Amino acid sequence: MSFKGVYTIAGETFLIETLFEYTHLQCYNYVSLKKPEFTLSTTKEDIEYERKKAKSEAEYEGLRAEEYKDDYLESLAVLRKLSDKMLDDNCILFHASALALDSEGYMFTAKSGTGKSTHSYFWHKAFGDRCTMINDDKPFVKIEDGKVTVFGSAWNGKHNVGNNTCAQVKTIAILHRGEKNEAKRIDKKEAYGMLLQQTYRPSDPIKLAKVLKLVETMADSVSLFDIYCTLDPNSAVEIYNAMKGQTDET
Amino acid sequence: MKLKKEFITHNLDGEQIMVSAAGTFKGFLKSNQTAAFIVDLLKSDITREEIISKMLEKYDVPENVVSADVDKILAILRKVDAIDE
Repeated sequence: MSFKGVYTIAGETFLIETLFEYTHLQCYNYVSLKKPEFTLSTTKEDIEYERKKAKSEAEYEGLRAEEYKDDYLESLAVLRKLSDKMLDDNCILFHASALALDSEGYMFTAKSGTGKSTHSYFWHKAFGDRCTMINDDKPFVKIEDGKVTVFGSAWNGKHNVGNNTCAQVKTIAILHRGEKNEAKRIDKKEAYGMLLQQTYRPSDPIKLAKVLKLVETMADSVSLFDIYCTLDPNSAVEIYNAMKGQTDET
Repeated sequence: MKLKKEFITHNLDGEQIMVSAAGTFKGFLKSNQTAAFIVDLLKSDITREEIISKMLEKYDVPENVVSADVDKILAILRKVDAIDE
């Protein structure tokens, strides 16, 4: 038995064929009536691959390896296959919390547990209707013709925060915890390492070479900041003003 | 010896960034000009002595200094399992 569905994410329409229903329930906001351009299907071997990968990543980060269910691991396998395919259209999978404020895209990136979701939540609370959450964990980011566009997707993170929408990204901020709220404008060279570390790396060397170029192009196309944030809701307005002040100058 | 094919380099405004597609090395290496020159030589099969020889052609530096630099870079690359001996 298999489960099938057609979805449109980041401008691509595709058929997903899986062993379990979980991924389709996850993708329900992205159901499409369009004709699929390609198919992603999974096998038991894909699920076992994700199990081993999750275990090795937990060990690498010094965390306890969790026992994940097959249906959840299968959704990770689908995400991996989709991320590999998206590169054909200059689209990377980026680890960030992404939102739009006044229709401009902002992405906060950092290692897991630093406070990306919290800071995005503060922006949402501070700016209300002006602010739309796009994806709180792993958005797709298209880099083409000098534009960087961030897209919502079904893989929204543990808080399941996001929308089926997109925005042109003007600012990427590398988030750190701080004693006070500060924003420091940085250049491509200063940002590149962290941006690369937070980007999905395919196992195909040719696709990986493309990722390295796309991350550089992304860094060239946006304003880049190191931001130091407190766990105070006021941090949203302070960081926004600090970044805006430095981008308005140029 | 040769750089493993899953190690990919990228030139970022004169700095060389190297990552692995294999997933065994999850970080990245940033190389200055000298290290990048050695990494580029390793993209074809080459011996330590040949690397030293090419470095001496390029740089006006004593051989013992070049040898030490080459050995230092090779040690780093071996540590991340980047070399096919």
